[in-house]
Amino acid sequence: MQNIVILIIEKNFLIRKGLNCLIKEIDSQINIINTTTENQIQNLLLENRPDYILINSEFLNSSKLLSFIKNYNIICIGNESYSISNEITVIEHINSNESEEIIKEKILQIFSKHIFAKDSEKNDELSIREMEIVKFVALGCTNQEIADKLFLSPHTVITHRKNITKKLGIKTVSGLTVFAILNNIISIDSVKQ
Amino acid sequence: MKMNFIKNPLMIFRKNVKMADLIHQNYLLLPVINRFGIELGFGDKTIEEICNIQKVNIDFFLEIVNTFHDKNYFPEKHLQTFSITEIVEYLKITHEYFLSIKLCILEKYIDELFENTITENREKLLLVKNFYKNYKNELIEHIDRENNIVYPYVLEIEQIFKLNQINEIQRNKIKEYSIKKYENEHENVEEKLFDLKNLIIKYLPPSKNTNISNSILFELFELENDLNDHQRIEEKVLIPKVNAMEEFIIENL
Repeated sequence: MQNIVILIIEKNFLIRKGLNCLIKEIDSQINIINTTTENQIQNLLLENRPDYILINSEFLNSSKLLSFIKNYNIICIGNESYSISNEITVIEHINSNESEEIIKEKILQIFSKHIFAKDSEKNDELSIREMEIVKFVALGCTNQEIADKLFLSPHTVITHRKNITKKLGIKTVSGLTVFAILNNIISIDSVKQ
Repeated sequence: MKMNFIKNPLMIFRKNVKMADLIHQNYLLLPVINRFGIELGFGDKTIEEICNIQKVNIDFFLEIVNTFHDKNYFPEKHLQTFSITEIVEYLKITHEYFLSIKLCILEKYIDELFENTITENREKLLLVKNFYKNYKNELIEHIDRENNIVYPYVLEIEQIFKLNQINEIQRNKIKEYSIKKYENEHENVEEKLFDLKNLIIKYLPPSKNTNISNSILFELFELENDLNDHQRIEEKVLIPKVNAMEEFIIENL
């Protein structure tokens, strides 16, 4: 989670402090930037490129500010009743009356999606083992046959196959066969036989 | 003013919206309105005016258009109030669009791509072409089964329900083939479509003409979108509705 950068825009010292503590409790590596006014926001955004902005709803009346933050993931802090412009995307709404558990849960939810997004960005190359499995799948072997050949449990083979599908974006056996030939993992002749 | 936090502000088309504005909002709706016999050249007429001229059920039209336009909008219960005849008619026309238009365009583009690929890569492209052919055949098979077996069956169920009487042949048919069974065999042709997209996006050797690959992908994404909508209507509207009718028939007739 260390890559996450959060900008908190909140006048109230206690709320600001509270949010900082709460987020640090979830992960101490998260980078938090605080501000109390809208004056420096444009610079802060340019310098830090935050992944999320926690902002008090009071600020959302300023159309100038809205135009700065409209492309960011916004989490709104405030009481029940306030209006929100259609220009911005509010991904979550935190009410200052809510209990610790609820607020924590909301923040965790957001971050867990974030980790997933970051993880899937990198690391989509097949491992050597996965490559072997693709080869056998493409040649028409069943999971059991592959397990026997590679001395793995069928369960492990299934896990590998799930990861392969996730990495390649290919679900069907015939799709994997085409992929394997396109990438010279198997030859066209070996399929024809 | 108090507002809910909606991730994508919901835009619902109502009957007083101009048909032209609907297309400006979402051009993917063009084939959808065509399915109701509505064609271009609507001037400044509203949805309501055009539906009246074309004798289209405006309620049904609006729900179909809105569910297609916004995935978050899906009033299942209201959709289930429309007659099976009406729903099936729409689904059938959609099938016709897939078969006689979409698949033909795709095939044409894929042939073109083949011609624009250097000889060394043609063998590889041929693999993708065959993959497409298999997909196409599966889709056609799937559509044929719905057209020839499932739809006539559900129309018959509606008929029995309406007349409130059933003969022995029909009774046996329901016992033998309930819509639940169809639900189970509703196989996923969509997986192949998903793969085809990724094979072209990620793994196909580049051709001399990128525009053709782009066109193929545009078509595939559009087809996928349309197919998903079609399937959602079947699964969330048609099947539950027929299922309820079957239960009524078995218990009461």
